[in-house]
Amino acid sequence: MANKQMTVGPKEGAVAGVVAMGIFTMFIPMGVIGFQGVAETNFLTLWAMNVLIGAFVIGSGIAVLRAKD
Amino acid sequence: MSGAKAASRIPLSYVAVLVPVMGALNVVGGSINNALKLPIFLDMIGTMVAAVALGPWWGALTGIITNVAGAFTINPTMIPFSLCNVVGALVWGYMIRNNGWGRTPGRLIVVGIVCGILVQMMATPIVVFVFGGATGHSSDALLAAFAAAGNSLLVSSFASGITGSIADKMIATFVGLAILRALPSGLTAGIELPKRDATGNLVLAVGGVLVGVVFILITIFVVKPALG
Repeated sequence: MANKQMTVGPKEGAVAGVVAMGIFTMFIPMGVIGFQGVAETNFLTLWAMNVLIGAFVIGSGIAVLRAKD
Repeated sequence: MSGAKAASRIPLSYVAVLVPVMGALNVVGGSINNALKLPIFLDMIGTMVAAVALGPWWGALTGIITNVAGAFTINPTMIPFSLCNVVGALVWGYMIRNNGWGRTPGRLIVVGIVCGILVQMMATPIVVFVFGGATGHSSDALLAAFAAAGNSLLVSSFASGITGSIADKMIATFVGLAILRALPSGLTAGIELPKRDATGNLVLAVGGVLVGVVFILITIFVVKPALG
């Protein structure tokens, strides 16, 4: 049975950066959670949009990972 | 020119272990700093280790994991500052891992200073435009003193944080170096780091931390009194 060790290279490193940006995009609205005067509905709308964008960014990172040269 | 030839492919098991562990180290450092109210951050030591051992973008991922986790455990204001952690990871990764800037202690000090300046340049607009100048960090008092002296908020924010930022990155660089030397040699193969025995590594780490502490003391005993 082959016991080949899995490795990561520069492409996977770039994917890590893209996924990191996706995670950042998803959570950035939480930075304003303690602000005075931020309406809950506005906050939730903003957060939902950011989660959507973040999901697309992470999806693009996974697409790069799966792409064949 | 650089003679650095860091391994282009790294075992996935190293990445799977190092990224979360270094993120946790950052959160612990940030929590200690938050408890002690020091004028630094201590939340980028793990980022430095990940960026040098694995690569700049793995360091960036570690940094973002740190700040997202820190937002739940330390302070929600940490999330926008994820970008500072990313900038630090890119500086350490590209300078030390990819371009051989970790060869001598003197070069590492330069890396710490460059990293401190660039991270502060990233932090300044976040402090001013997102938080209006007040983040709850201990440097807020210094920022207020600079602003009261007639400087703009942007200049005050940059000036109030620069010494603390350089001190923090200096400490992160040299403590991170000590951690890197303790990792399996396969992880740091090809990365140019100062060649020392165990005692030499300890001396180097303590020396680097002392340089950082000097910057902190300058902030506390020279800059702050000068502003009244």
